[in-house]
Amino acid sequence: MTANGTRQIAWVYDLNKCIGCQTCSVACKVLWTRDEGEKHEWWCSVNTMPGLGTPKGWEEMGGGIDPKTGKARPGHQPTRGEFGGGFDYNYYEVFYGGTAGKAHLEPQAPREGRWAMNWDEDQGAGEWPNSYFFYMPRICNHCTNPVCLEACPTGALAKRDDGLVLRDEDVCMGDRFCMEACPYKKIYFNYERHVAQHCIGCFPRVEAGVAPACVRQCPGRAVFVGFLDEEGTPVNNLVKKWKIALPLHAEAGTGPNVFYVPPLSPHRLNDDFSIDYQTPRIPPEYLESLFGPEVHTALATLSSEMEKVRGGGSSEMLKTLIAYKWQELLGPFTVDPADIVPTV
Amino acid sequence: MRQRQNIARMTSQTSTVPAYTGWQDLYRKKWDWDAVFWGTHCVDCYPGNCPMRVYVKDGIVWREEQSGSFDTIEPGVPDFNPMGCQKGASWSQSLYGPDRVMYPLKRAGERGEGKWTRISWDQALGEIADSMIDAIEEQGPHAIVHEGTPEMATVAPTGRFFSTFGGLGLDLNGSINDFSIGLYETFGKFSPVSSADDWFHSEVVLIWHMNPIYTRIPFYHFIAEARYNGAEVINISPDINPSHTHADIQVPIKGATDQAFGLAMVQVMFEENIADWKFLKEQTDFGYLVRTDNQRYLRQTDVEGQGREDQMYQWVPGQGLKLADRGSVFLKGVDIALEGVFDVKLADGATVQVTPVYSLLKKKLDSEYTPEKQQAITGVNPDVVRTVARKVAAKRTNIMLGYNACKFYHGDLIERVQCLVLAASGNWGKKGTGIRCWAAGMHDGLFISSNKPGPGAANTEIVLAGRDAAVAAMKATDPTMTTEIAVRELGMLASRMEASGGGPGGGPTGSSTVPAMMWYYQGGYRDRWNKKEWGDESLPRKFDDYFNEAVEKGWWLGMDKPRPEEPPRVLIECGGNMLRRTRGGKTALLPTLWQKLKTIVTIDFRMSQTALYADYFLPAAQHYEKVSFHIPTPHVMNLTFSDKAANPAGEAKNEWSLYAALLTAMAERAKARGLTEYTDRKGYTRRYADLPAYYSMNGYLLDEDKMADEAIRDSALAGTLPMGTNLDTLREKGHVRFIDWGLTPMALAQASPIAANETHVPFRDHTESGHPFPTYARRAQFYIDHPWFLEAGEQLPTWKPNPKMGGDLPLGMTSGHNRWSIHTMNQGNWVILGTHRGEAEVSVNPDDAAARGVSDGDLIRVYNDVSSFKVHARVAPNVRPGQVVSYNGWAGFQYPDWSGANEIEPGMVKWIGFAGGYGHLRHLGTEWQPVPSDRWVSCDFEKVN
Amino acid sequence: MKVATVNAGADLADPASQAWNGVTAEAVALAPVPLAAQPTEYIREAWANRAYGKTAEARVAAATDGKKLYVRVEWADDPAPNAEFQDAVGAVLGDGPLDTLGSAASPLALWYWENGRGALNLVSKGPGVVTKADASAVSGTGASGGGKWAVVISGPASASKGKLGVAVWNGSNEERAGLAAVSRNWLPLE
Repeated sequence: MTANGTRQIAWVYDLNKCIGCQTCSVACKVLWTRDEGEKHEWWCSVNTMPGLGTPKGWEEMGGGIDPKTGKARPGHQPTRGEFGGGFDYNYYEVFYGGTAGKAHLEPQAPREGRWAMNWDEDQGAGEWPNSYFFYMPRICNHCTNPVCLEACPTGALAKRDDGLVLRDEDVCMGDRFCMEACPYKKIYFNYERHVAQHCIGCFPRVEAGVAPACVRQCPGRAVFVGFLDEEGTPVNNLVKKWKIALPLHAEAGTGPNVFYVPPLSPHRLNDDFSIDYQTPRIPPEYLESLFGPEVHTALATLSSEMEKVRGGGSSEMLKTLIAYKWQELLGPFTVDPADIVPTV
Repeated sequence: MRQRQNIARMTSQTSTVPAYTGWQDLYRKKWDWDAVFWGTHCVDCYPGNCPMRVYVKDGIVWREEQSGSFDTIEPGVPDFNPMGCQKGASWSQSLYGPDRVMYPLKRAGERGEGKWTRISWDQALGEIADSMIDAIEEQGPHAIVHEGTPEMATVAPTGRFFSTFGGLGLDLNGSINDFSIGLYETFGKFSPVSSADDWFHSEVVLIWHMNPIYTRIPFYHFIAEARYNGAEVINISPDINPSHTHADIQVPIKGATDQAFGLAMVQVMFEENIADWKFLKEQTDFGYLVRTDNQRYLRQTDVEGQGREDQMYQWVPGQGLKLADRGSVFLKGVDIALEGVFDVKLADGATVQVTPVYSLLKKKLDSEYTPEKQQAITGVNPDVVRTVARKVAAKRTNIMLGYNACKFYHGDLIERVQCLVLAASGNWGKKGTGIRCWAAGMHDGLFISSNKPGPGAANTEIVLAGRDAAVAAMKATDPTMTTEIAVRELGMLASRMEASGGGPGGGPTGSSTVPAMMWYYQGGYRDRWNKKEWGDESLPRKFDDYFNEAVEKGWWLGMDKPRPEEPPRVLIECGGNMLRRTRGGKTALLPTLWQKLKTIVTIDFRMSQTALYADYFLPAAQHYEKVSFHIPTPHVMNLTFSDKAANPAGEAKNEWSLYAALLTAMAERAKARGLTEYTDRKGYTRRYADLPAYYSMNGYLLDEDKMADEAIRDSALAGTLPMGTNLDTLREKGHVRFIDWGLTPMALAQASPIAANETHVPFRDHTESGHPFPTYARRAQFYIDHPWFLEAGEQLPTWKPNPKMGGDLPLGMTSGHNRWSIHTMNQGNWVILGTHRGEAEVSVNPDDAAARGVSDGDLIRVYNDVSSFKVHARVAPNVRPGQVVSYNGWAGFQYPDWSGANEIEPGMVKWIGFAGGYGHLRHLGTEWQPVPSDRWVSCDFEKVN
Repeated sequence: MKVATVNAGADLADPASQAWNGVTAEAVALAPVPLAAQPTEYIREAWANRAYGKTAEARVAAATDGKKLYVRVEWADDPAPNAEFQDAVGAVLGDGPLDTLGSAASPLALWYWENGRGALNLVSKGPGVVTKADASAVSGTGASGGGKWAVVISGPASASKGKLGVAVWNGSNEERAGLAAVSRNWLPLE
């Protein structure tokens, strides 16, 4: 806890457990973004990396804070087309329209240039047999220096005492400077309601002691939540003590509070299809572009712990990542929502 | 159900008209509900069984969330929570989705024209009843067919409906082919299944013909956690498929050559003397003696001139012949020879030479499958073979096998080799080891309750006593039989009774058949299967020769139908989806079977490919609208409950009441037509007027709660659930762990003790207690001397080239379950459609695409000599050159012209599947039967301009 | 600026209405809201080298039917397409710094109309520093054609005695919030 009593809720995604199943994305969508103007919004999304992701080409859209000047850096506001998705479908025409197969179920949007939340799923990079990819979930980073908040002219954004960066939708005028400024491009625009929207950290759940939907519903048990400063917790250990969970694009300068255990990958194959034990498939320089130079140490630490266990040793770090009891992933938010029973 | 009015800490106000208190409360109110129910998705999602909480607001299912309610089973092993996936987490969105059908429909135009008229239930049921009566009167009740589904809420009422009037059902597993033939050929059962938490114990995980990152979303974590616990993960696949992502080694093997890779691993284990010799001598037939003159086993009948034909011998050095123990696999201190050639004098005075199976195998491996020789077949570097073989031999190894290998033409050989790898390394019957297919069972009460004369525990005891007596009588015929073997023999007996007439229970039953027979006689597949160039060209005879021989020898007695002269008249699809599911699709079936069907009825909750070509659509309740259970499986070991969280939408009915209404309509229409009774082919006479009451047990089966409660209590009485378990306790807890296997063949096939605080791994009875396997040889059988296997050169596991099914074309289409749907379920779900491109697709290699002028996203035509389909191309560098990956699950109507990828699948059946008359190679429902193959189908593609 | 008084039956809400034919419109010069006054560092950085407030002139007319004050603004429509941002216009009323669209100490009323979004009743405390007020008090109708926008915004007639400013946002240039062209001088209403 800081001197002024504020804390920071943080997430740690273990990319060696994430399987790209989108259950987090779907859990979030079904819970929060089914209303007017929200069809294309995926506050939580999972992308295949390397890839253009969502919105298309987000890593090249600028924003964040310039490390030299300390000032906000101009960015591009992702467009509706760059987010893509949210398509309407011709169900009625196909099922009842008497087309005898002439019309098939498909998005009612121009095919040319189409994009969607998970459009480049499982494409990745490299060449067979050394092609590679991994999965990376993304939500709002609830940054320590939320540049979205700074950019907003109406003061719609605020950082709460628990560290969540939330938007007062009554105050938001839909000016979208936040979308430009956010280096992660994780803010959506609701074109029907003329407000920007982003991950709310499941604050109504958190307030009731229930973990966010993306965490509690992750079948891969790949994500931890908790207060970053609370010593002895998985989140604190993974980020602060063992330093194997790293922020994404920390160079954007906003102090993200979502951390990632970087991905290992199978060994590369030589031209004769023998195994090159020295080289991982995913180029280390690519991972460095995402997680910074610390990624090499983090992966080396993780690998050596795994070797130790394979040799019969024991590792607190790996036991933490295993999370023998699911509740260990939920931090202090272990209440079962079904147990929230009448109070009157 | 839990009622709630408020959330603690949410708001202190209780006024009925809430004042606007700001944007935060709008979100707080979004996360609000009136009632909570247990739910799961009782469809053919296997293993499934994800316990969910279903949240209801204003009588409408608002959303669902995994319950996360499993306790730790084994200390030191991660728990199952929070089982679920993206489909389950958005099931509510298809409940009221745009593909939901809520009213009875009647075709208005031609079949497949897509024109419908909404009609009343009375009209729909009356017209369907009339067509059923027509079929019965003109041909008999067997002219009314259904295809089947494993969906628990559907299979029970559909089964009872068909047995009530005497209709014909197709063996579901024969249609969908989730039948691991090679496991069956080896073990006499295809259904060993570890509980998913047992994967954590593995030291080597061989992901081999499975893509668990797509298909085992709720359980994948056990693999990731095993890796953190010290396991190495090795992914073996032609493409760099998604399951490579968390592997340590990727083995990019040429498609359909896995046999050579596995055989070379075994060669290494033998050559380097790292095999588990004690294990393989006991567990397998490696010590059995084979005659060198005719390649057949040396039998008791050979040596003694009498005795059992299925009694084989082993050789004890210094002593000579030993009768192989049919009652136990344990050698009890006796050593047996694995190599050598021995002279044996037969009863007829002749002397023959015999040699153990192992020596035949060793010779084969050394001459054909050294790591160097396999490289020419598989493309896998010999060092990789040796590396993997040594790891497997040294460590507890688990082969993650899906239902993929079994769908290759020579998939049985792939699986036999996989079993061989495990046998040579001693990798079954202990934690963290084994191989898997699927198994169901344990909830015996479901079958007891619907087969007993009436409700109540006394009636249950009658059924149980009858069952126990049948098992005891079977065991009495052969003292070496275990309960497992006796129950399988009873199953095979039921198959034979199908031919002789009368059901096992003495009352009226429906009839069942092997789908391959229907495709052959009624679906136009005879021409396809006889194309030698699409099959195994090494065979000396043509397909029809084998087929006719099998039929003439009576191997398929009772299953040899429907014969050409008795075409089906009425098809009732309930949970099935024939035009989507069948290899060949509408290309095969519309010109043949469809022409013979006078009436086609689809019972479903959503529009399907088959429904679009049907005459009537009857709307069924969706999973959250009825009381049901998931398919119980050893993967999860729990009975998982799904409650009725909301009333059926629109005019939808649950299947029990729907069928009751249809039978009532039949009784009424028959009366109006002056008809009273009919006699089926088995000689059983039914009265139309009695059908409704018989079906519903005088109404008892129509009360969902009562029926569920009865089934749960019956499982408790049968000993598979804890005493005291009933509907109320399940409503409270949502799921309950099984305490015993019960008496279904697939559950007994686990052949392991069941413990409350241990993971489940099958075959411990074989390894720890010496129980025999239910094979012809009573051990894991790698030498099959059935004459057809000898003729095919498949007596031992071997590699054979994949036939060019569909033509001599340069590319091969593979398939597999996708990430996004359960078969076609959820393909129309608007949320799920947003998690991918939202259109049907196939993945192709960039070089193959470039050579054909195709870019990512282009519409292409994939074709072969069977047919073609159009689809958007995903150009992805993880696809192997020469491979076209068509993940299945898209509905036909998601492709142009409603023609999906199954249209180019010839649906070839490996002729060996028609073999019979040999120990475990005898028909058994769900198990031994010919099944279609569809992997690595020859094809090519071109850009559609 | 003279506020024309029109019969109660006239359809002043429609910018194409005949009722406006008799009302004199004034050409009003507009200037960009100063960059330095933009409320956040992000906006100042992002627009430091980018022109905004591109609309140089508007024709403004005002009329009342006794109940409401109607302000009709006409300006040249930038034909460049932009799917994200819409053209918008505002009538600024009150007493405070017009060039910055008010200040915290001296907020102004901003009767705001945006293409596709309709009218909003805002209180403006600086460029883009707005809060929403009673939405029912303000309405607006706009029409584009012939290379021009014509929009009528209306609010309570009580505003007819004060000062009027106008602001125009060019959506093609991604103008919104404080990135506006605002009239250089107040137009006293009379």
